[in-house]
This record gives sequence, C-alpha cells and structure tokens, in this order.
Amino acid sequence: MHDALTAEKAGVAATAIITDRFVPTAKAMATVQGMSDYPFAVIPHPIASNSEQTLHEKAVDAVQQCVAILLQGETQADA
Amino acid sequence: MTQLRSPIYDLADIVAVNDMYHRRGWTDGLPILPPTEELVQDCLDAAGLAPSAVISVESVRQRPITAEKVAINAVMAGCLPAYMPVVIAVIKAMCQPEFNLHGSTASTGGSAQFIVVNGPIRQRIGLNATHNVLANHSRANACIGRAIRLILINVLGCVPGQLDRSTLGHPGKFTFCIAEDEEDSPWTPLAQQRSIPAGASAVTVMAGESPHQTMNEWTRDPKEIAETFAAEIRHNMLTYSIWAGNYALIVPKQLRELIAAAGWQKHDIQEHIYRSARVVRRDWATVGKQQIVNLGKGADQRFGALHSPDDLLVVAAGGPAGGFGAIVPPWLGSRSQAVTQIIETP
Repeated sequence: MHDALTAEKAGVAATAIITDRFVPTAKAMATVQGMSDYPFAVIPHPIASNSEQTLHEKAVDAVQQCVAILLQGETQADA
Repeated sequence: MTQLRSPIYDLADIVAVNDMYHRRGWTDGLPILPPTEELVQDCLDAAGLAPSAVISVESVRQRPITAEKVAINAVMAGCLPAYMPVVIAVIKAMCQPEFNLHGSTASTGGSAQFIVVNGPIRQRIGLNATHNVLANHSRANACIGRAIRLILINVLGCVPGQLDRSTLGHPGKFTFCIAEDEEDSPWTPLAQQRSIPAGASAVTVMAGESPHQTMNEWTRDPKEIAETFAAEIRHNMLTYSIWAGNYALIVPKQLRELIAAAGWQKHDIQEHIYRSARVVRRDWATVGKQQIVNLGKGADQRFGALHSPDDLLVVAAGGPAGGFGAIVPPWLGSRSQAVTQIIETP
C-alpha cells in the first residue's frame, strides 16, 4: 500500500492488491498518508498455501479489479 | 508549563483517567500513571528538551515524534525522569532506516523492540542485569520498554488490527529491556563491540521475536556450550525464518565462567556460531516443510543464520546460578538490523 501511495505522489498511476484480512490496515495506511479514499483491489486471504488453480483465479480477479481502478478516469473521460 | 501543546483533560481521579485512556485505546491494557503537566515537564527537564523538539521522524508514516509526546507516554508507562535519556536514545535508534520501524512493527511476524543498555547509566537508574533479567523486577527495565510500546501505539498508530498486524505478538511487546552485566563479565560490553567508546552509555535495539530458553549444565567445553545456542538458532531457522540477520545471545554467569575459563572471548562465540548455525534446504522436510525443499537452488542449498560473526549480539546477563541461556531471533532476517545509539544526558 505504501509503495502504491508513494508512486501516486510521484505522479505515477498505481494501485495495490490487498487480501481481505488486511483491509483495515490498508485503510489506516492510506489515512496516515493523507489519501483516505484511495481505491485498491481486494482478494481473499491467504496466498502462500493456495493451490496453483486457486492462485490463478485470484490473480485473474486481482487483474480485473486493478484494470478497473487504473482506468477509472479514462472510462469516464471516454463516456 | 505553558509550552505544552497537548489537550488537557479535567478528570475526577486516577480511576476516571484510566477509564478514559483505556476507552480511547491509549494504553497497552495495563493501568497508566496520569500524565499531569508537572510530571511531563519533569521528564522534559531531565532530558533537557523543549516540548516541541523533534526526536525523530518515522519515514513511512511521516510522523514526527516530539519530546512532549515521548514525555507523556513515558509518564504513563511509569518512568522516572532519569529514564528519559534512555527512552530518547531508543527512539533515535528505531528511526534509523536500517531498523525498518514500519515493517517490523506492522508485520504479522509480531516482533518487539529488544533493548540492551550498556554504560554507567545502568547503575544510576537501577537497570537489572542479573536475576530474572528477561522478566519482572526493576522499575527501569519494565517502564523503559513499556514507554516505547506506548509511544508506538499513541504516536505511530501501532494499534493491533490496524497498523500492528501481529498474528500472535509475544510478551516482550509489553516491555523488553535489559542491561548487560558489565561488572560481572570478563568480556567487552556489547556497545563497545559496536564502536561506542568505553565510559559512554548506549542502547542497542533490535526487532526481536520471543526469546527461546536453552540449558546445558553438563559440559565445561566452550564449544559444546556454544553448540547448544547454535542448535536453537538452527531450529529457529527451520521452524520460523530461514533468513540471516541479527540474533541476540544471552549468556548467564555460570556459562560465562566456563567459557571464559577456556580463554574464549565474545568473538570466539561469534565465530563458532557463525560457522555452526547453518542448515540446508532439505532439513525443512524434518519440520513439516517438505513442500519448499525443492524450490530455490534445490535441496542442497545452504543457509547461514549470520551474514558475519558480528551479527551475533552476545550479551552477558542473567542470575548467577543456572546453565540457562537464551537466543532472541530476528523478526525477518536482515530486513531490520540492530542499531546502537549513544545515550546523551544533559
């Protein structure tokens, strides 16, 4: 989360992928960095012990959320 | 007194103070001493600091840690004003980039700041280095470590479930501060090993996991004594974390006497453990981690606990009887490195 916020402050579009059990911490970090409404992707916890198939499904889910977040402004402008 | 900027609350008594502080999440769960203006000012005076003086800035959360907030939390923890220079030094140490304060306090790994104090201030403020050294006894040990925890909670937002994501944590998160028993040790004190001049006082701080106690009362051979510590480190590498970093070693008098009688200095212990505390990837199969044996560079891949012998922090401490010792493992290898900071007294 900190990396994504740092990139944004440097003018680079970014987002973060957070597992659901870390959502309060991600929001706390966004708040202390002064960007409390910063959007991020959320996938189910955990990661380390997942099967390859489950991990793949979570990756697809994460990518779709990240694309939606990163292109949010673009989509509105196009509309 | 008028320089203090923190809000002032008018509460009936100490019970009301504790009710409010607990309700607002400003404590570690134990009762606190009300931080009155007078007590806070006494702490600032003892440190020779203005309330607005910035001790350090935590870089990730971008929070300045002011002397006033340090003093408030020190009073709450039960500190006497004379403890303030130690508390200030610990904060300066933790805020050095190599300590990685944010990572080590936010991580699910749940480390605590293990503090070792060297130099003449130990005796001036009554820090314990002997009986029950890792636990209860001295006000100074208990309250200095507790002050650091309260500062982390109240200034840096290390609230469990929020910016403190420890899965378990460990009891050292209440307080984890010891002194080295320099007077009863034949060896160079830790701070002097780490470039602090003799006669100066200093703290060494590391992000430590819970101590593992060892025992060996059946040998006079320093290699065998060191090997018991090395075995515990190897065990930690397999069951907890493989990565090399700072390990602390607590060596009590009974073992020190045997090791020193054989002519060994601290660096001999460091050299032995540097060579001995090593495992190979296939050893993971013995602790339920078969799944990762063939990853990385394969089953023969070697791992050492220490990047160099100096990464082992050997501390003379503990009661006079008993062949017990302890290792304090690092939070996550060298992602957080121990920092030694001189203690400045006004």
